Amino acid sequence: MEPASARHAFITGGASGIGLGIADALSALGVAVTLADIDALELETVLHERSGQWRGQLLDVRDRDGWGRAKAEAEAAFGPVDLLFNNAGIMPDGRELADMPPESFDRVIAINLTGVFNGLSAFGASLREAGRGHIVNTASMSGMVADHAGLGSYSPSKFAVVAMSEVLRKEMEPHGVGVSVLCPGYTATNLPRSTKRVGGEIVDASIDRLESAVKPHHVAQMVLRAIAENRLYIVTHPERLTAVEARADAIRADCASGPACPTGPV
Amino acid sequence: MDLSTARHAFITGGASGLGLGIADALAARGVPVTIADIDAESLAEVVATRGNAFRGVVLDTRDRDRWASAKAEAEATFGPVDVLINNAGISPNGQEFADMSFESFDRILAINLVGIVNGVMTFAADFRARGSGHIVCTSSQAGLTTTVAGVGAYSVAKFGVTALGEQLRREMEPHGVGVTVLCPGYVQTNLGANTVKIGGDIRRYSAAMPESDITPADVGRMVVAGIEGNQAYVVTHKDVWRSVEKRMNGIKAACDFRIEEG
Repeated sequence: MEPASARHAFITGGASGIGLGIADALSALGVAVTLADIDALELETVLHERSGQWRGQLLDVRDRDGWGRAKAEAEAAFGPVDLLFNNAGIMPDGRELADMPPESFDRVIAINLTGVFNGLSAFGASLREAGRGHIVNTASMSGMVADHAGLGSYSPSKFAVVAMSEVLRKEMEPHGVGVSVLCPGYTATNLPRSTKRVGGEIVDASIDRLESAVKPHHVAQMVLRAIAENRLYIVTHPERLTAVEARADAIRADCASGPACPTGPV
Repeated sequence: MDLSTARHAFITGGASGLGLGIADALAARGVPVTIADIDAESLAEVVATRGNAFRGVVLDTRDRDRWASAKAEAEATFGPVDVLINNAGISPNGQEFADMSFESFDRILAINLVGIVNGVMTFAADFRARGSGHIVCTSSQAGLTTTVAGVGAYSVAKFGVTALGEQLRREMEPHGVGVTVLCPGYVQTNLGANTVKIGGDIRRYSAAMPESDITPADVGRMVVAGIEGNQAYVVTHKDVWRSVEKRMNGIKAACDFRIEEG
């Protein structure tokens, strides 16, 4: 859909980083924006600096009851949501899996993965019913390739969001609702701070900077274009394709060189 | 890993299906096996027919405290575990995301993804300290592609397992521990019945299940070869590559989509 034809965008993790970049870009097109965020203070600051159709919504994406309330309050203010951005996320702690406390793994899954599902549960049926709209789920380049030690909770959460988006796209397509999955590489955001705010530790901060940074503003422009063209994947660091291809080659090698077996249906 | 040096394999979901196929294949190579399963009755039946190289422990892979005691019990009998087969899983529910209950999504994630990381957290530090061993994580062809309808939450969990296995392989490699991601297609197992037993609903999915010509024994042999060759992936249905390649081409095309900074 044309982003300018949208009426109301609901953006989680909207008070900073990529979420706020998308919000600013949409607002410039005249779309009303609900910023959903766990950080009340940051929401207040952001809204103070902006005028027009903006509102803040305090939301922890893990809180399922909170999602229901957030939807009701947002739509009471600005009407039905037709753009949903499941964008809130935290970074991993940098530990290897063998050393990771279970709570650390759980926190990343609960926010980065189940938080996205919670958003689909809240809004998926009404978007389908309305027969128009677009959903963008924020995954990561780490949702396509798991080639760096210390991303042991993050990569599974992000691979899972990519899979969720691929399936969701097929489910929503017959109903006129578009789906994209945003796979950013390193972006200049507050991810470490947001992670610590929900109790997450960061043992190895170097995992936050695997490639050169892009700006949220630039990512937002890509997202808007992808919505207009209903593109599935949004990749901000195409230089990482080499790693994705190397992974596919490894899968192919084991498909071909594995032990002989009967071939069944795919 | 050379399986003639393996001392003890621990296999979740080991009382039936793929897990039992893998257990039998490892036992045939002379490796003592502990089969861990949520189903005490099936465990007792299997152990009764398999002789002294088999031992059963009751384990719900979601139960983190029980993982520790299951490990202790298993190692008290057969010594340190050096082959871990993280295999227990349940089947898809066939629902679309917009209609899926929280319980249904949570159950699949808790067993098919978190159950596997629980096994890794229980055993991987020991393997690393000893500098030997092999870990197999059972994913699925639905952990490589999303071509099959009605497998939403299942694919989500299995993509997670694939990433987990790839990550773990990287982390364990310097320490001499091998890791394989097992990606089976349809195999003749009790997956559907076992899913119903723990409260899952498969009515909308089971109708879509095609016939399979691959047996758990076939998969057991493939896994044994995968461990010995330290393969990153064991893919049981070679045709899956076509879907993986198609998906790859989609990602490649997406990388041509650029907007100049400004």
